[in-house]
Amino acid sequence: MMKKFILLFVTLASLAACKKDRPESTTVDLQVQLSSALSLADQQSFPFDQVKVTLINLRNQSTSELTPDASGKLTFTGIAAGDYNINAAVTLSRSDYEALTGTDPGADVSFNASQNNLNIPVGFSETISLELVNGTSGAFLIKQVYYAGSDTKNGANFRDQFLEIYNNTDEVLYADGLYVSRLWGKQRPEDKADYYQENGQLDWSKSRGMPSDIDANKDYVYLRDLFQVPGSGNEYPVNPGESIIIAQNALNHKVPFTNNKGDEVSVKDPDLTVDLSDADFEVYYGDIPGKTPFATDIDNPSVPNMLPINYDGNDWILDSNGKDSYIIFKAENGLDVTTLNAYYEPLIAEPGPSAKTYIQLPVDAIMDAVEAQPNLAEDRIPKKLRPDFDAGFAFVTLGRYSSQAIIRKTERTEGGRKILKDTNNSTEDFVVIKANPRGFAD
Amino acid sequence: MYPNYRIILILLVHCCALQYAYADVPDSLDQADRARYALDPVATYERVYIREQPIWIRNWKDNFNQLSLRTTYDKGRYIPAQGSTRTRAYYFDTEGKTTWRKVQLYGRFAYTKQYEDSTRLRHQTRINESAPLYFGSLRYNHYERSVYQLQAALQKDLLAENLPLTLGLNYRVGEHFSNNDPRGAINDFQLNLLAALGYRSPAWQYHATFRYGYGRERVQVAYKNEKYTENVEDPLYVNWYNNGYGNAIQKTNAINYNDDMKRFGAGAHVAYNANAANTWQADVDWLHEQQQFKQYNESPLTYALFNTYNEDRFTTSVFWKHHPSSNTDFNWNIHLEMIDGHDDHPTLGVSNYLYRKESYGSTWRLNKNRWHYLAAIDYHYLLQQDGNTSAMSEVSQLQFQLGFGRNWVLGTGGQQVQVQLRGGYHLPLSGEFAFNNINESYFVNHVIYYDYLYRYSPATETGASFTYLFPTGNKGMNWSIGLSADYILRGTLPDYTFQPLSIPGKNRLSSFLQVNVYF
Repeated sequence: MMKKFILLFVTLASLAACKKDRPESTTVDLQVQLSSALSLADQQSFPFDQVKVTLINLRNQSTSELTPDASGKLTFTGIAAGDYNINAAVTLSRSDYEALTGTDPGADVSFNASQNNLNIPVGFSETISLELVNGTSGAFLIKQVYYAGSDTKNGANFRDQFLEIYNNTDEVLYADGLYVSRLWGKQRPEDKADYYQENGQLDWSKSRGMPSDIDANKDYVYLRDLFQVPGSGNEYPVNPGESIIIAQNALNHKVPFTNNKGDEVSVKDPDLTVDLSDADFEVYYGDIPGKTPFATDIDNPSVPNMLPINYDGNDWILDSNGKDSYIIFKAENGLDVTTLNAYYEPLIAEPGPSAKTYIQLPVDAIMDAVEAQPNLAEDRIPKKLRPDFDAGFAFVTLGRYSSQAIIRKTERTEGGRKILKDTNNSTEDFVVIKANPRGFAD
Repeated sequence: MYPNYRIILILLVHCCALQYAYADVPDSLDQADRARYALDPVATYERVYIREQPIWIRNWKDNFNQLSLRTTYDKGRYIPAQGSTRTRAYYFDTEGKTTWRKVQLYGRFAYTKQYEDSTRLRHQTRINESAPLYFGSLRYNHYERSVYQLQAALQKDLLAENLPLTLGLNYRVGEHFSNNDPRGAINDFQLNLLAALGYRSPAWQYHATFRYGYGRERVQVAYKNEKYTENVEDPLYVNWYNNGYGNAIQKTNAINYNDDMKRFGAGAHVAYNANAANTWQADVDWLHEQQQFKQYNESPLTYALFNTYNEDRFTTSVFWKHHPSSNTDFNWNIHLEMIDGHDDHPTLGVSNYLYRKESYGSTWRLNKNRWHYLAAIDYHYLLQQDGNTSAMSEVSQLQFQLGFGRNWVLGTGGQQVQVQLRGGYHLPLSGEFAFNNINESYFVNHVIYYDYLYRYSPATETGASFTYLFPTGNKGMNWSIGLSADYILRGTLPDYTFQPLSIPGKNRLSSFLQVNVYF
């Protein structure tokens, strides 16, 4: 009897023991090929083996860093299918650059390349090409962006936002006529009302009236607003290593003030906010015809107002979630902002009567740029800036109304003058601090 | 608190049934028999087995009912990554069986209140650990769990002493919550039904069973402190959404899902009574379960489907019950369990996750005079693999256990003392681990590296139990007080080349104190 039962058991067990096949591995070996458009002297080759290539998994934020071989090739082996950012960056010393090109650049030169929101599906076998380009080395730099604002109950909410622009050269520069702008693009991950490029950003080539003989996406950016520093040319000097502050409201936000309706507004916790009473410029909507400014938009008569060229809303309110990109530029090389064209965003439906147009600015005009992004990965939006202007992005880690600002790192100090880091990659160039007008990261 | 009305109903039904069984049906067990049956390890194992296989309800002696109050305390960091470092639990458990108008009736009600202080890396009910989708964070949570369970079964012969029809019900309601950020709230219920039809010949007995069930786990995670919903700066508070094995992403809002479960299965069961001294019994069961993880929203479909996970479970057992003399009982059991789970990736459309668990083992139990002995050997195998990241862990282990005990009768009043001692060893046989750290997040590191080391480590366990049983004059009741403690000590961790952020602790103590009433 025992034998019969054992036989029965073995038979039944074998029926149950049919194993399922294991899943086929669906990981991808991602191949990357770097190139450079730099004109090299004879017998010289670009030092690709000094380039740092970073792959960021947008799903779990894991990062991996590799260096290519001398020909610029590398492979990220066994990555999971998904969405990635890939950045390449290298800084050549002034002497190395001169040896490579025969030209003295006057300073170290940074090269960047990036592709963002890159979808790597299962079975992906293409080679990703990245062209390293050296960005502009502007005289003025965007040093600090305080877009987050402070606590809505105990702080100053968005009233204390400001932008700080820095003279990173060893010469006196003049802020007169400097333009400050935020860019427009896809503002929310879930937006579906427009035509989009493969990278997820708006496809401006499909905007109504857009000429077909230009590269509307690559060669231009589109301005959400535009303000200009007043002055005739040499009224507002900025010494080397110094900066100007452009405030939403040039007030000491730590103390009570009376708003433009006559009500007193106080701050419960002054430590959360900043004193902007000595800002160099402020944005005031009260003088703009047809605009009704917010009650908190106060004009400080001792602080010059920025000249409004193009604007929206009822005050200069920076996106506290970090969805704005910031640029500065000057009207040089024949640029006249009054003659620039403006276009609707590339809406699928016909633009309504309240639809806004956006000034189209050639990217060559950009002096410096910074791409901000929301702190939560799931809220991030496609980049608006090309990698030669900003190969990365920066964000305040504690999110909106956190009193935090993004600020450029100090690279070195020469004769008491701080030289800020400018590799055109804000991921590398910026850190987070508690907002501190005219402060430094270290 | 929505299940409260159901719980009250369950309690009322069960108490009425038990009271009826106890009050109106003549006893078939005298007080001494009841005491022996209560303390007999072989019989105790058989009664527990009947909870899962009610077709063998006749093997439970008529009018043997028990009520148990138990408190347990477990402490130590030799636990799985998603285990609890310290657990206090309180149990109220009552069950019994009777025969009424030739219908075999079984009923059980159990309530558990459990405090876990603390656990992390997974918000879960602890009854669905093979599932690929869950939320978790690095922050330790204090978890409280309340679980109510009702089981009922009946067996009636449709013909005279033949064609036994068995119907079974197993219903469970659970509430689980943590009270610190990121705080989880989980409600679950499970309903499982069984129907079986059998046939008896003089020596043989056959049953075919059919099982059907469904259930739900509703999981929500939230923050009381809103700042954690708006930043991921403090890694302790970041919520992760895991879908697969080693495949987790950050998710700090809309942290909820429903896991809707459906299951069905069949089984074949045979028993052979060769003679009064020998009984053979074999059970084979298959159960298929589908779990759909959904987040309800305002879309036309009304939900977003995160994952569909399918699992097949095969269980097989063979018993030989040998009763050569009045003072000797021998029970030999061979058992096998296999769980095969898999799902396809919801967006990539490829095989995403594989779970395979195998357990084979054999147990010998011998009661001779007042001594009882136990020997067991079990083989355990676990494979988890992710198709998207290629993370893979495969570990096998042998577990040995030896135990013995003795009963002493104290005086002539029917009082007894039982002492049991046991020891065991976990011997890792093979381990293979693969994970490309290019796909690694720190959450995943804490889970899969840790668990691989936990499963592939040797361990030694020892334990002792003490039970004091005494009868009371009231309707032949017996009471027992039991105390038990087990200690497990981890051996040397296996060699590894990866860099784990945490490793398993060295030991774990498990203990309980219980009071039973047998009537």
